[in-house]
Amino acid sequence: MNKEKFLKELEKKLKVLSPEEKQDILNEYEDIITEKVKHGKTEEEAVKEFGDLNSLSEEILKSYKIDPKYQKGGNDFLSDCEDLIKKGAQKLTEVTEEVVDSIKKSEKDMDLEMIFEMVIKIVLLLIGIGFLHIPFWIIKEIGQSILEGLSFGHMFFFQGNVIILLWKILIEVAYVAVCALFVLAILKKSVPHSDKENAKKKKKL
Amino acid sequence: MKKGVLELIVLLCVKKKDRYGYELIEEVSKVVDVNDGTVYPILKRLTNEKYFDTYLVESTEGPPRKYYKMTTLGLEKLEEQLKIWKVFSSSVTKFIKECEKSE
Repeated sequence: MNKEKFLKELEKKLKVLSPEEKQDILNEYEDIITEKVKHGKTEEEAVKEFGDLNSLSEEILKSYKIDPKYQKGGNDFLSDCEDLIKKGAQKLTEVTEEVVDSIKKSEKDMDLEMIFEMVIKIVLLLIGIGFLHIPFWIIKEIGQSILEGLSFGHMFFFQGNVIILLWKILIEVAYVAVCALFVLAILKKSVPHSDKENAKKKKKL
Repeated sequence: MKKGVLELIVLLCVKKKDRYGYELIEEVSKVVDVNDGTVYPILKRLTNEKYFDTYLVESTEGPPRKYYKMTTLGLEKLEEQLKIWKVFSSSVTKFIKECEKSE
């Protein structure tokens, strides 16, 4: 394989990375091959010394904490869940920071009226969350009756109860997740975006 | 076995002197016979994890070269890896001696 082909193949494998990172890595490899050629090797020899391209790209992706499976376009359910959790955590951190910063900014203007406003908002939020529970409760009850109807006579008492318990847990978890998203959405709306925020984000990246 | 100690060697090389990619690979190959493909990912990972910093140096012969240098975090990591290596190598050496004695 010559330099051109190697770099093209590597680029394909690193597709999942940001363009800057990908280009950075490709540049580095190009430099290394160029140096080796300067020191007397052929392009083929230089590329061969890197070993297997697949293991190479896997190792590179691992250093970004990216599951190498991504390069094959694998849509693992588990890795999707992991992603969701990571994104959720990220979002939560982002919004919390925004809220904290906006509070810091408005500290000097913080007066009784603002405090009452915040309290009322929080109360409304809690009421909203309470109402949100209703559809989930309905689903839970319906599901439970169905399961009870099914398990009657078919399963042992214990197994049936376990399944019902699992169903309840599932619904509760779904409810909590929706609540979290609801709260995030509300918080995001009520927090004004400042230039400071964008600057901070850029710095982090 | 070689892979485990590769990180230690890369850390030591960069501590000794700021390096660019090709230079580092050459240095490491002198110490351990591994294929170059394994060295760069380690370099990348250590950089991503903030053990190394990078800077560019203009080159008359072509595009600017990226140099890798040690950070304070990297020095701590190096100390940690050195300790682990010393414990590991001394207990393995000790065990080998015991086995050879009893032969």
